[in-house]
Amino acid sequence: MDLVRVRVDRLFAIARRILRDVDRAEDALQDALVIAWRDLPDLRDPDRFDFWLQRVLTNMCIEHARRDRRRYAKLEVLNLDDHVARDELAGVVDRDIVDRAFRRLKPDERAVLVLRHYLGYEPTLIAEMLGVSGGTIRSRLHHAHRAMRAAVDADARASAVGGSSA
Amino acid sequence: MNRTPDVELVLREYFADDGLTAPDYVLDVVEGRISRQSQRRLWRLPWRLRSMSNNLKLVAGAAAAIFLAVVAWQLLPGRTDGPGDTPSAAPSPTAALSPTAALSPTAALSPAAIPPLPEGTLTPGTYRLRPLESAPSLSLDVTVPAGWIGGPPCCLAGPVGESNGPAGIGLAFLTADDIFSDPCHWNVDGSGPFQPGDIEVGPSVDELAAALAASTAYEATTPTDVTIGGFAGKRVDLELPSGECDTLDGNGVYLVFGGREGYIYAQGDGSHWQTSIVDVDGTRLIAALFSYAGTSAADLSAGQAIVDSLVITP
Repeated sequence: MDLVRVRVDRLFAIARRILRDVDRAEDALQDALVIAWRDLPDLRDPDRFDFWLQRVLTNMCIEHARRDRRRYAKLEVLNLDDHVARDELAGVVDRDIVDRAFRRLKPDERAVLVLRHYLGYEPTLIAEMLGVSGGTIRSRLHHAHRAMRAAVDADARASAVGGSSA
Repeated sequence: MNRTPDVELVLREYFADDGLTAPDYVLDVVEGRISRQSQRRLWRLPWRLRSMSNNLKLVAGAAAAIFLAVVAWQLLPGRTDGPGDTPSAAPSPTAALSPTAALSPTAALSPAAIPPLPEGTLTPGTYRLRPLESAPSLSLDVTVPAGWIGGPPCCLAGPVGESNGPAGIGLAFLTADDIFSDPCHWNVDGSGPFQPGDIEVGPSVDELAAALAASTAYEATTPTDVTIGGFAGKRVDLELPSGECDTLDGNGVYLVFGGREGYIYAQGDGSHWQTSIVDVDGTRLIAALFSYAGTSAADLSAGQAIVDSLVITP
């Protein structure tokens, strides 16, 4: 189990970022590791053990997110962290605003953003991981970026208004 | 003064590591769950890429060993949370994975009492396979010597190196309506395993034998007459190439036959497929006996004896 133990925190981090919920991330991670163990004999290229494990996990997270999407819509409102002070990203944008925008994305769009901006994977690699074409990934990235940018812009405008009125 | 930040920068900060680690109980739960679940057998092993690094082979080997060790630990006598009589997750040559004493040996058993092929190391005896979903009534009874390994529903592997190269041996029962013109690059529609081959073959035994013999992807013998299990058909021997596929589809598998029930990939470099094809009341049954240059004469003889023992019931 040591081989998994050294990777589990990283895998957990991926799951938390896609699902934005610690309990759901634990469930998805556990399911993914069980599936990975079951399918380990099918791992045909040991060079890609980490990639394969991340693929199993990512697909599991997407499945979990889809399954509970309706519930997540409620959690979006109910389960946000309680930030007393404004927690800013990039020195400007409220983290809660970004969080809300991210949670509104489709599960596969969330996964694409995490793979791109947390793991740093190129679209071609993400396409391989999710089993879709590179064009599909670029399209999802474009849409997700646009949605996130809209939220960021709105917050920036609101901050500007608030700042001038303060 | 306000500015609109770069959304990619925002996302990188949003996803930045926060130091939160996975609770210990996550892995505890996983260990408990895998102790109650079967692992897929190391059956359809890959055509191994020659470019694979030794370090990564070790990593993969260690991963498998650790997982198997976890399961073995779960199977230790005295563990109260072990799997009990559930199927083993990691077959090993132990009595627990063998057919029960009541089921083997089978010399005195009536045909109806022949046990189904179990997964794992077999005690000598006769076992029944039902390899084809498309022909569920078709049963194949085979008599195996000691040390062979069951891989239901379709397959058997030898005692040395299972079905893998360079010295293993295996026997698989399949059916297929088509074959691949390029077994290295079969993933034509991108849908992965089980897609049909690009060479559609007519329904007869002769047509499949001729298609195999005509392929330029591997060396194939001229079809000859053969009888297995009392059914007449054709035999074509295939010599699969050794290390010629640098870029393989589907994470590196070499596929001869198309479709779900033809899906078995080369178990190692340079394997020899003794392929017998018979028509069993409208079902085109393929029996493929895999071996390698390093397969011992004794194992080859044992493999042939298993084929010769075959009793086919449509």
